[in-house]
Amino acid sequence: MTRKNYSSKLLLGLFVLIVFLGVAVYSAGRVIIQGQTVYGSTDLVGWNMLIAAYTFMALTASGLCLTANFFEVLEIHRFQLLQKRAHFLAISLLVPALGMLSMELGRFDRVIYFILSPNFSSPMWWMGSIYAVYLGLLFFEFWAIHNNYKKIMRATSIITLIFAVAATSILGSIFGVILDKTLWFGSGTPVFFVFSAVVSGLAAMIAGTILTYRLSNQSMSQELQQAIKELSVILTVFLGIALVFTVWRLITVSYARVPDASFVTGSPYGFQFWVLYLVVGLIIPFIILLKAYDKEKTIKKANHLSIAGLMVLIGMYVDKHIFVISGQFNQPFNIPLGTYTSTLTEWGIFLGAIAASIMIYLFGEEKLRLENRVKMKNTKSADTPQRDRYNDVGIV
Amino acid sequence: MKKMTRREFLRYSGLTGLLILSGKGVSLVGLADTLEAGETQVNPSNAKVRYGMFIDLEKCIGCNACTMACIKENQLPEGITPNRVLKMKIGEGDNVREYYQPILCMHCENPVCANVCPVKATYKREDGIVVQDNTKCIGCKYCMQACPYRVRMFNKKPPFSYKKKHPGGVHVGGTVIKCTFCKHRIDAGNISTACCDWCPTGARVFGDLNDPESKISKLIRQRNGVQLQKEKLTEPQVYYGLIGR
Repeated sequence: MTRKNYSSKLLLGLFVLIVFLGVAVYSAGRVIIQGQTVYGSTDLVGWNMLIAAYTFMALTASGLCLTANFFEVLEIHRFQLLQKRAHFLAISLLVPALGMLSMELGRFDRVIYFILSPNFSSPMWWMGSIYAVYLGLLFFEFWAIHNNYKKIMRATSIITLIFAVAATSILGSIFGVILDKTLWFGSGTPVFFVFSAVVSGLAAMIAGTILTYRLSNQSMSQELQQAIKELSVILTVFLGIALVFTVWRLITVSYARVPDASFVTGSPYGFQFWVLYLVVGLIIPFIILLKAYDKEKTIKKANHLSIAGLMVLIGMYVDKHIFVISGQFNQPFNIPLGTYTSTLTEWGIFLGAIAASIMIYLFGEEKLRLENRVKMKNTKSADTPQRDRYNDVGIV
Repeated sequence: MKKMTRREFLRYSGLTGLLILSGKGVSLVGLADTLEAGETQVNPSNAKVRYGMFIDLEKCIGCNACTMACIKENQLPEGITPNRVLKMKIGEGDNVREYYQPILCMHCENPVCANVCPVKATYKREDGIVVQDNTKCIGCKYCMQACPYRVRMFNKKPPFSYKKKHPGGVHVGGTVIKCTFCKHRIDAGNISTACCDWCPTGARVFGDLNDPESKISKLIRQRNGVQLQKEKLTEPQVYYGLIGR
């Protein structure tokens, strides 16, 4: 039996992740012992950054699965290379995200009432239920992909795709149905969440794949490079749409002089919006992605793509943070504006959830071989007969 | 014996399925009735009455006696005040006038808090009082977000160790607290709230909105009682007598 040699960088990274996880466990313990007095949320700003972080991670997980299954349903073969990784990455994000959400619930031990006393008129009930089913489907589909059960994969991908869209839009509807919150209310919110999920999912898929190969010192196959390149083109287009969407959002709120809009564009979230979301999260990655190819349209530097992907993910988180928190500031009846400052406990839980996601993913990468290898029609060797499209998919 | 054709088999199996389903339907209806009966049993309330409150802003002096009464009566945890008094201004320039506006749960006819609660911890009783079952609340705070009046409070105390008895039950850490119109008094036959009893100027009147001869109904008519934020479509059951300029 050969013993693997792990690089010192990887071991250091693992140590940092374990430290973050330890901080999260300590923070969760504080919440259980001291209650939510350790959070920065108030009666006026009841939902803190953990809700924003959950929204971000759940949307990214949905986006990963949504995109991968979309390609699967459309039978675009080359993206099957990414299918298994995308599904496992989605599981890696969603499980810690749900754990983090439970820390935001005052009495997480009572979630059994979701089954015992369901309220079908509540978007939150639908969100919880649909995400629970969706997580089960994700595990099931991953199992099918892992064992190469082609018919099950095909059938489940359609169902999971439907559930991914439903879960994402219902998550948006939690905010969208609240008439009292100007920044949240409206039918546009669920649609915006689906769009945001796709952007986050694409960015996570690109960054996750490239960083995995880079950290493990492997080189990507031609097919995989091609798939990543095409994904980054799609992401560029979506970032362009997001820019147009943001500009229109700004125009409409300025035109109608929506009071709550000043929390986003001015104080207190002006810097986060203009710099972290717009510049770091949208404009710079858009430019990086546009300049990522040379005249032959091949990727000049894969690293640039992963950096762009990570920047998009930062932008998407900041967007959710601003959306969730600033939506709660305005108060009726001359009540002073709500205020919110995140606490170290909240950050501890959030970073711990991210660390848990990375660790689960690394475990999958190590033990479950997340790379699907597909023999493309144009790259099949002479001695490999062309079979049906699924027969060419195999875990190598 | 006559052999059954495929068509007959399908017909009979379909009929059998329908019979089983209808039987199941009956049993489900029965189950729903049992649950409903259970809820009514836990919360005895009178369907003929519809409780509400009238608050005369001309009479309110901002003494916060109502706030204190609520805290004492309901043994509220520290920092929780579902019944509070806001300082407001009306008019401009030299004509500006200060006044006080008490605010509490509006016990809406269309309670959006109950609609969004994922586990039915918040519900409306037959007598119009919107109550919160603290043994069910999961502390998601969705009701606090949905309420247009910001009158729901979150008990941030530890979820498993904090318990404080009050006349209507126990305050539990990690759950939402709201005004109950002192339902424990009403259930015991005392049709009044602590805030009304303690108000030194008689600015608050509690009573049956369904009875046109009740004091509250007469006051609402006389003072042209208004509901706050009617545009939110929640049909609040607390009426205000506005101040003159």
